[in-house]
Amino acid sequence: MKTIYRPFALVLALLLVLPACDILEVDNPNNLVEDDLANPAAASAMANGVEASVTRALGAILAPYSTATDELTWVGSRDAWQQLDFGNVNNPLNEFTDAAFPYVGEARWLADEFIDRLEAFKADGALRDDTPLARSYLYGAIIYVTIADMFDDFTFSDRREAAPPVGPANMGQLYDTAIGYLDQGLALNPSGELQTALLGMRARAKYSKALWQKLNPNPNTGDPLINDAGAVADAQAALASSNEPDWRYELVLDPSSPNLVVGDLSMALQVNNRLELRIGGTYIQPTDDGKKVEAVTLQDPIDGVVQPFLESEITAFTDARQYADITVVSAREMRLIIAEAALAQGNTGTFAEQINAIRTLDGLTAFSGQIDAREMLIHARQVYLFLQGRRLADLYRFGLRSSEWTSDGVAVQQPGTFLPITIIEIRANPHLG
Amino acid sequence: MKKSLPLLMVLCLCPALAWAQGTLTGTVRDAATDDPLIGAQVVIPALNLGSVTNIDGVYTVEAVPAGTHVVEIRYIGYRTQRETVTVASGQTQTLDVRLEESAINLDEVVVTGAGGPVEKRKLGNSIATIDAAALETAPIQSFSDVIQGREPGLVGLPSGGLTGEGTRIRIRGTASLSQSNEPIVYIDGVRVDRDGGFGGTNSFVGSGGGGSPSRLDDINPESIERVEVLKGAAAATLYGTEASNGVIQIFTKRGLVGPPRFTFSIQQGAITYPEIYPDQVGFGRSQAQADTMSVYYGRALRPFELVNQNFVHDLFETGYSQTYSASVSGGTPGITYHVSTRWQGENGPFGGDDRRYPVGVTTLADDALKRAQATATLNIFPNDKLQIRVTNGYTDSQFKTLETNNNIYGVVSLAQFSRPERVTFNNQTGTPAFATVNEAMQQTVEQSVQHYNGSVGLNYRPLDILTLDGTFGVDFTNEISEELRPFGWNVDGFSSDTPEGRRRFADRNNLELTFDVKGTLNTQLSERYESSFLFGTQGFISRERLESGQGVDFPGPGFDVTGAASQQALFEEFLEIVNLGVFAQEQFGINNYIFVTAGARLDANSAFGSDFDAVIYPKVSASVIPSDAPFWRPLGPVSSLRFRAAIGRSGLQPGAFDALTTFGALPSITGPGVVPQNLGNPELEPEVSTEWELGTEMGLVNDRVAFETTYWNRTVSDALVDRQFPVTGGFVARQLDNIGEIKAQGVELDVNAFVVNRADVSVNLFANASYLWERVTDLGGAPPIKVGGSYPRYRNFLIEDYAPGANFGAKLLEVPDGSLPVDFNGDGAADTEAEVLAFLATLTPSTASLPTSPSVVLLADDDGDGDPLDHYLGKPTPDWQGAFGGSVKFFRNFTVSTLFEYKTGNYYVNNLTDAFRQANAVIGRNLPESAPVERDYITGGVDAGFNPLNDPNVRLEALETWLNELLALAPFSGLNTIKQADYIRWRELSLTYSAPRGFVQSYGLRNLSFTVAARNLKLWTKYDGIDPELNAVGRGSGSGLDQNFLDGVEAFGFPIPRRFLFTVRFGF
Repeated sequence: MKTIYRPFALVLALLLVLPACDILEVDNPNNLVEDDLANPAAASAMANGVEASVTRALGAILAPYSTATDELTWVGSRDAWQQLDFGNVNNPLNEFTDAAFPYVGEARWLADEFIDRLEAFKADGALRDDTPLARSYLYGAIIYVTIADMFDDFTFSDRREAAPPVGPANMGQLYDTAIGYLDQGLALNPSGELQTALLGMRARAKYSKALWQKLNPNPNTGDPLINDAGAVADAQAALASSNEPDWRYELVLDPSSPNLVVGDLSMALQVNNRLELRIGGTYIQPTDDGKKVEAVTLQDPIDGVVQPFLESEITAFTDARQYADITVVSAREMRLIIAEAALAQGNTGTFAEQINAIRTLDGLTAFSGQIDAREMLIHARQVYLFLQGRRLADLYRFGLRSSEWTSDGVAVQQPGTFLPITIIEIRANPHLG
Repeated sequence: MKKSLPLLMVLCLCPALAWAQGTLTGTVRDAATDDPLIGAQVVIPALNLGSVTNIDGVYTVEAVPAGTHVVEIRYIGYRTQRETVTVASGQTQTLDVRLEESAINLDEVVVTGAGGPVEKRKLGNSIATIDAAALETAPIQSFSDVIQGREPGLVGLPSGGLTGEGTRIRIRGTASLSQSNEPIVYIDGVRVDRDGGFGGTNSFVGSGGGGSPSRLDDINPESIERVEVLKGAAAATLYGTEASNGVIQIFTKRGLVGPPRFTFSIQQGAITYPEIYPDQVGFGRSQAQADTMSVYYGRALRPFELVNQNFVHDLFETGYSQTYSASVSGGTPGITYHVSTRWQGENGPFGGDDRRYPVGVTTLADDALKRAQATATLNIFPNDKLQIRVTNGYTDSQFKTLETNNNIYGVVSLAQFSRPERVTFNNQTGTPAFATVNEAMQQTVEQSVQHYNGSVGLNYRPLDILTLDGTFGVDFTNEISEELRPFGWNVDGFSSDTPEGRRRFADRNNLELTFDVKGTLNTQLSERYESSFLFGTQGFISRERLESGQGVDFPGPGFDVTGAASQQALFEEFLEIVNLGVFAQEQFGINNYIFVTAGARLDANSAFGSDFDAVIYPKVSASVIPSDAPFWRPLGPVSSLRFRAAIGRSGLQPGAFDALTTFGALPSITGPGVVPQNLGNPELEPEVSTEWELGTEMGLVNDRVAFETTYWNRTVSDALVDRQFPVTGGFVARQLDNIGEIKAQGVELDVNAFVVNRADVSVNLFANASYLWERVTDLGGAPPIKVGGSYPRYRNFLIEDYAPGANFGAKLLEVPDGSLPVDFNGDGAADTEAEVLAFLATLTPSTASLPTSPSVVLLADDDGDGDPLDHYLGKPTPDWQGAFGGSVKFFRNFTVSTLFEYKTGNYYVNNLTDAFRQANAVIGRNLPESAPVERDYITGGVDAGFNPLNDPNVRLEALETWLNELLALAPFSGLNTIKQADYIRWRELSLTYSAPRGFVQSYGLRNLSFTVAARNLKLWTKYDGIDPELNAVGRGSGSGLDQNFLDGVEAFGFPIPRRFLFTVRFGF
């Protein structure tokens, strides 16, 4: 009988022992569980994560934004780009705007989240180096300014908690958040390029806030120039903080981090590899098949030569394939901010001085009133801020039209319209439903 | 061979009784034809003794205790017969039997879902059996072919017609909104890798959605003895978590006691694609363009003169396939064996070798498959209480396919949206974007697979009433996929994408460990009551490792390793899932015609949330066979009758790490970084599928006609919804929540009829149908889920109160008679025909372009919610589908068999191929229907010399066609695109000649047959595209959501090819 019961014992053992053991505890080496973020050693990885997320977000949102301007045009197969070409910028169903929107949402949330975590480390005395925190403030400011620059409205949800939209009338407050972040970043006494970037970004944020006020509720085309003392002061400080006369702060895309490139949304990939988009006809002569750049054609209005900076930018953009870096702020933009404020004040001398400081970098003849100063400003911004996400606002405020905008398109019918909260957020957020 | 594996466990037991024994022998024949039946089972149930007939229909049961016994003789397709025989000690008793054909066989022994071998008649749930022997002459080359069209409710979705392309499988529709809807698959009790594609969602490698192989096709179809199918939770409860989509269990062939029996098969085949692609049509817009076209088309062309070309058919050739297989089986009373091997080679019908290429260039793209398979099975019987089973199956395959489907670098995709007016010397088809056809044919996609499945099984009977059974198995896959664009692949200088080349690879290793230990206590409680108590434990461990990489930009030609590239990227992933369950079941029999079964399984799974421990899946079923009751009297033509009812639960666990809040790696230029990955949900638990079914099985006309009906009803509660939370909340990826509900119900009908059975002629007919109704009844407040991401041309959604995967999209605004849904004059209202004509009269060839702006073309918004793309446009799953056919045997030695498959009723397919071709301004408008419309709209009609007439009425007619038939794609997604797709396909036809027995034996052979067969001979359909069975994604390609619900989307795939096969089979 003993033999008979042995199998019973075996089965019983299996029934009792197996479920109780820890065999159900499986490992997940693929990702970081949230608890691991409580370790201050993760500070740098957090800052890098915010940088990566912001880079990915800008890379994604710049494509639909730029296509809605004259900077990019659709030459491929996916016709939602064409709708942006037409100036139908506010369609929440547009596949590309909708695909880019989540990256922007993620970057904003991540910046806020990791700034809070890093501040907590600092408060606990666990943050050995303030640089990750200062960097995070910079990236946070970049994404806030980007949202305010490019969107008509936005929501600030937190994980599962949906938030109501801030409302179009309140989007200007986002610049205040950005400026606050930059203040806090600068308060950490960063040095070198980080300090310059923080100062430059604060100048840009203040400038953009003033610009936003010009565009809302409707574009003030009669008085489009920006004259913001704070922006000018920060721009001057940023210029002074660097020995490099043509510095720029970029979010860098590199083959070592291919996941930063969102294939369907990368301007560079769509222009250089897939040939879905092309640099707009305002700037270049296309090849016979219309797919690529044959030559840069936009000329300098004074010298009548192909604008050298634009040509080098487009060449670099093309050569970079899908890894074209994204310029966030630059010495040229600082001078444009100062120049524009001067022009608004009627100070043509300072205006020319700043414009010529840029033109000298390109070996161009100095501006001395050969053309209207405002035209010079518009041209300079068109060239020096090319593909940096500024063009749509400039088109609106200066009363200009992209040649691809259709007369029935939103950009013409409702100038001042920017990108919308898209359907992916609308469907998931009961405040928008 | 027609037998049941578990029964063999009993049949082959060797009695150890040494005294008062005799031998029972005899021959089993077909009562009608007098032909011997091979593989019939002869059993003495009370003694657990038995044997199986050999090639001559002869059986021998040795060591039969002297005395009088009841002998059962069973054979699939025949009515089980019971005879009483008396065996004398030391003597041989002869019992010859003639079995009568029967279309219904309630005594068939099955295993799957029952815990052990049991007759179907005792089960309250339906269980389908596919007998491979019955398919021996069918044109079958893969496991996908084995199951296609055999059982109502079991659906194979082939997705495309490239060589080696796998089939997705659905049983009774959709049981999950987020997890795989594929059934779990076992071979001889061991879980099988059921993956497909080229390494999964995170792999760098892909072919664009088509040409996607299935790991299930690694199974040697000729090693299969039979397949058992559990269709849902009511039957699959004992399989617990993961079983709510049903269970498919494959039983491989086993050896029989006797001398070695060799079997050989040689098959040669031809494969062709139907030449059904519409021409590419275009016209020159200018004299210069017309002049260029004239050069290439060899005739003088004028602007606006239409030119027809077909750039697709030039890519096709006649493919060739060959298959060689051999097996040997046999054994002694102590050990039996079955060893088989098979080699399959196929060079598919994609060609292109004869095209004009630049000097030194030829096509590299290929559609080919080489597959070597071997199986070896041993059954060892150390004594009369113990059996040891050892199974081994190994497959090595080398597979090549193309870039295809909804893929801008797909070969046929590029050919299809070529435009005749853009033809140049280096762009022979005039592809307007991305790459030339020649360039696309420089890309290769290859896969190398080694796949092993094996098990060790122990069956021990310590007591006559107690059986202990254990199965321990492993299924291991080593799969390497590669996608290569060699340096300088843009041989025509057209493409700008990675001109210095790109290599991608995915190295996937998958391990499935299975253990299954159970005991069965069979007790005859009294003359009237019997009990079968089952208890046991089952578990599996699934470990998958994926290493994938990409290298871009080689320093020069000749490199095809990732390490040589200047830009390199790597991805690595490890997934482990552990599931453990214990179960118990009691089956209670009353008077041998009433059976009640109750059982439950307790499951724990590593993927459950930390706040959730385990789940219990109960089941109850009943089977009543009035025709086996003493009171039974035949009811008119009804000769057999069974009623059954079952209710049960099973589940599906969430993904391996869905419960955790995680952050993933995303490096910046500064260094490694972390970003949000998975929102997490510690309360995650399995979704629970509750299914009940009622069924009858009826034998009519002395069981020559069998009629089986099943009604089933399923509710999936706590359904795992892949919920999109607000993306501005930081976590972009969807998160599973147990908040949904899906309801489904269906009817399955199956008729088999042995119409005629004479020695010279027999006719067997069958037909089956399944009706499916399914709804997403609750998404728990989650927003509708769009399939295919933000890509607007895929219109499948999960939306409450609609079938899963239903299509939603745009439709034109309904306007009064005399108006058109356009607003050219910008007054915000639909223009009258007069207003339209007035506008059209202002156009010239240089200004006219077909309207594509939503501010001009007016769309309906029926619910007024501001979303014009939310109109229901039909579902991709038909109400009814099934198959019918039969076989006719004539002149004694000839057999014709055929099978037709159909889908009908509210069945729609998104014809995305033609949506592009009819509407897209850059890569389309080249259909025979669309090019003239564009031409006429631009020109306002042309005269005999193709000079524009500027007639607004011609433009109006073109505009109406444009709006009502052609306009499609964003922002009009769904419009003029989603088409009715009912079809009947002539799936199989075969003619077999079996050489006469005398002739065969004169050459020392056991059998000899010749078969000519065809597969996918003909398609009748309402669908206006290439093939309604095509789909944008094949098995294992796309995301998990796409795998489930991106159905009914035809997007540049290869049509299902016709196959013509000639097979010679012989054995000795």
